[in-house]
Formats: sequence, structure tokens, C-alpha cells
Amino acid sequence: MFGNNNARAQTSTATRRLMKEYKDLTADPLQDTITAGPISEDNMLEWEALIQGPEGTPYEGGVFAAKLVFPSDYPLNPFTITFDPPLLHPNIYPNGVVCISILHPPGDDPLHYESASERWSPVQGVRSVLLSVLSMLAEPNIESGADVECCKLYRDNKPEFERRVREQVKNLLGI
Amino acid sequence: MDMSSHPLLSSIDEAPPFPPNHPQLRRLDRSVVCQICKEPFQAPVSIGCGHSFCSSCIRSSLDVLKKCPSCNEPASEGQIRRNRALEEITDSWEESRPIIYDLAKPPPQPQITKKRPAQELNPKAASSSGTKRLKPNSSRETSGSRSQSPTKSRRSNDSDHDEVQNGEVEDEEDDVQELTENDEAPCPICQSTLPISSIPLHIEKGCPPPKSKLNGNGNRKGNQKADWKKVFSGQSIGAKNKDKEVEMKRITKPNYALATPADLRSILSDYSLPTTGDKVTLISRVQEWIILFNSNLDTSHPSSLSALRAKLSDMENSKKRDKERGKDEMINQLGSKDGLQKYAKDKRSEFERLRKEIIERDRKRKEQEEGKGGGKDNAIEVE
Repeated sequence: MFGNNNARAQTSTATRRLMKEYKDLTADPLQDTITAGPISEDNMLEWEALIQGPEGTPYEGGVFAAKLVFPSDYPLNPFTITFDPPLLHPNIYPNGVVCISILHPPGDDPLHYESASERWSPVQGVRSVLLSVLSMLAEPNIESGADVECCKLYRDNKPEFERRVREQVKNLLGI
Repeated sequence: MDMSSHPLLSSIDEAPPFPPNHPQLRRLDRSVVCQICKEPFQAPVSIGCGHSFCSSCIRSSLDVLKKCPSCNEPASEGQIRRNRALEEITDSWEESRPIIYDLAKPPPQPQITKKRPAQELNPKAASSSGTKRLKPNSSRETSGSRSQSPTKSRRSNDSDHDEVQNGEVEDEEDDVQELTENDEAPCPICQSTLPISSIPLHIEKGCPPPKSKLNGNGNRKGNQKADWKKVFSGQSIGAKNKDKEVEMKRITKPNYALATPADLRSILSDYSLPTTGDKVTLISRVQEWIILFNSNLDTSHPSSLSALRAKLSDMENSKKRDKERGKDEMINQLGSKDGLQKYAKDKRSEFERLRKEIIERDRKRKEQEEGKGGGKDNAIEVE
């Protein structure tokens, strides 16, 4: 592994690291609720993930597609996750972009998180972020909401929020 | 979408993971891996909090955020210290990994013997598989052929042995029988190798160094002469001298906000690097070079300067490729206000170029308009 300086040089750091992560994910899958991988062979910087709604949440039963887009200086900077179609959730912008602290670029730390596990750093990766997304689906964080309307609904009328989510899940599944 | 046979994945020349029944070995395997690049440590260094990374990984990470990527403790480049023990551990683990991998692999012999019933008749099959287990280095293929004809493999094993022994007594009898006059043999007096036919003359002359060696010396002298010629005529030795002039000392980072393009170019030319491009390109080149150069000082297997230069240009090219591919990211980025600003900042040089082009075009158009006088509309259409 040390002699392969050439191979290392031909592909960029980002691509190499993503190949490594993908290999790792295939060898040791993320529970069985998430699958993720690059969309096309010649571009490692775009992935697609399928996420199953966690049990015991209104998202249960749904399978949600999300697009992962990586910057060329990954892993120094975080990637973005966009649900397509957008998902009703307090921490997901109406355009589908996921807003969680682990995906905020390094530097700006508006909420002053103490723990490194809640912030992006190069040791984080697809696996840790997707796990955060799962826990985000289970427990929305309305203190740093993305979809203000949805936050209000979640706070003031949780049953209505859950009903709408279930309806959306049914629509997605075509039921 | 089945990506397990992805060509990119197979292009990683990487050792297979240990089987799951050896969690300790998996853990050991993970422990010599940098948490940033997820590859075995290259030039490992530690920072203040005690976490270790590849020198280049942590240097580029600290350029973005002055915190430990693992524990979020404040960190700075000044804290970076070479971790020689970790380097030794990583190197020796890399070296012994294949051996341990073979040892940890469940022995495949029983299946092979069952597939080939002929061997079951042969009592020696068992013994050959026994020797195989003791030999962790033998690969699967050879073991297959070996169990196919155990007696033959035995013989070859024995002859291996003989050869080893021969190495010590070689030049006594066997060679004399096989060699012809054209073959080479060691001189019985000075042990230097030369054609057999010339040995008597060689001894008579009192064992002068053999011709081939003389040739070598002659060549070297020739090279030296050529080298000196170059020195005196002052040709091409410049590049070599530059390499020697490069001080193997850590480069101090310039203040990129204050540095002028000329400052950056002079840094680059100090290390014989290309000085083309606008300030943004120059800055990123200087940054990458400083990371490459400084981390190259943190290892006991440093690369040559020319290898580093090649690496820098590869990095620049592959990054450019990735950027072109990542156009969708750009579109996403443009969706948010912050992203828009960042995009504007990133692409400032390109905007500047476009702006100049437009000004130039306007100027030309005006000239044309003046030239054509009345045909204003036509001129614009032609443009």
C-alpha cells in the first residue's frame, strides 16, 4: 500500500477517499436501513442514497432518495444531502436540502457545539453523516430548524405534522 | 445498482480485509490508518491533543480550521511533531500484513483434496499440505499445483534446498563440468568475475581489475567529464544547482492576504515550480506546495523534489477535473445566499477575465462602429 504513490497521484484526494468510503460501506453495510453509492462510475463526487424511514416515527415505511454532492476539497469541507423529492421535516429546507450541524462547513459554529461529533471535520464521513440523518428523522431539532413553517407545525400541532408526513410517505410510495 | 464490481474500486490496489473471525486483527489494521485519508499513515505526526494523522492530511486540515479533526481541541501547525514510533509501526505492519493475512486465512487444503480424488490415494498429499501450512508465503496457485503432484513438488522443494546449499560450495565441481569457454567464472585468486578463457592471462598479469569494472570506471569518468564540461560551459547545470540550493527546511507560510502575485511567484520560482496563473491559482499552488514540502520533511522515506513537483502538478490537474465534474454542486451552491457569495469569491479570477473580455469586445465594437459610420445596426449584428 505504500508503494502506490502513482495511483494516489492520479486520482484526487477526494476521489480516493470516497472510493475508500464506498468500499468500506459495501464491506460493512450501514445497518440495513441505508444504501449509498456513487451514481456514475466516472464521477465519485455524486452519490445517491436510499434511506428507510426509522421505525416508530411517522416516516416509518417510507424509502427516501437523497443525493449526496461532494466538494472537490472533500473531506476538508462537508458534502450536501438533498432529498429528492423534498421531505417534510423541520430540518429539511423546502427544496430538500438537509440542514444538520454535522454538515455545516468548518469555521462557522453559530450554535457553539462543544462536541466534535456534532460538527463537520475531516474524520467524519458518509457513514457518520447518514447515521446523523437517521437520528434527525427520528428526532427533529426545532431549535435550529430549516423549514420554519414545518417547525411551527411540529411544535404547535404535532398530530397534524405526523399526519401530513404519513400522507407524504403514502404519496411517495404511490399508495 | 450493483457497484461491487466498480472499476474504480478494483483500481485501488488494496489488501483485502481480515476475515470477521479475527476482530483483533481488524482492529490492528484500523489503528495504523489515518482518520483523515483513511489510508495507512504516511509521514505520521502528532498534535497537541495526542491525535496522530498523516503530515499532509493534518496540515491541509489545519489550513481550513485550527482544531483537531478528531476531538475538536484547538490545534496549530506549531504543535506538529514527527511520530517516529508510529511510522515504524505502520511500516512494519505493512510489511508483515501479508504474512499474517495468510496465517489468519482458514486453510483451504481439505476442499482441494476433495475436488481431486486422485490425491486421496496418495499418502503424500497430507504431508505436502502440512508443509504448506508452515509456509505462509506460498500463494494459493502454487499450493494448488503442488497438491496436484505432490511428489514432483517435493522434488522441486528438495532441489530448492540443494540450490541453497550449492550457493556455498558452488564453484567447486558442478560448474567446471557445465561451463564452456565463453561463460564467466570467478578468478580463483581475486574472485572477480570474468570470461573463463581470459582467466589465465588475467592471473599472469597479476589480477588487474576486470575489464567490465574498468569500463564502468571509464564511463563514470566520462560522465564526470561531461558534467564538468557542463559546469564550465554553464549549460543545464542550473537546474541541478537549484535542487541543491533548495534548503531542506520547513517553508514558512506567507500572509496570503498581503502577498502580491510577484511574492508568490518568487516563492514558486525558488522551488522551480510553474509561475503561471492568476493570484488565486498561485495561492493554491503555493499552499499545496508548502503542505507537500513540509510534510515530506516528516518522513524517513522522503520523496525527491522532482517527485514532489510531479505530485503537485497531478494534484492540480485532478482537482481541476473534479471541479469540472462537480458542476451540479455549483448549481446547488447558487441556491443559497452564502453559496452565491462563496461562488463569486471562488470564481473571482474568471469573472475578472470575462469582464476584461467584454470591455475589449466593447472597445472593438466601438472602433468598428466608428469605422462603418452609419451602418450601426449592421455592425452590431455582425458582432
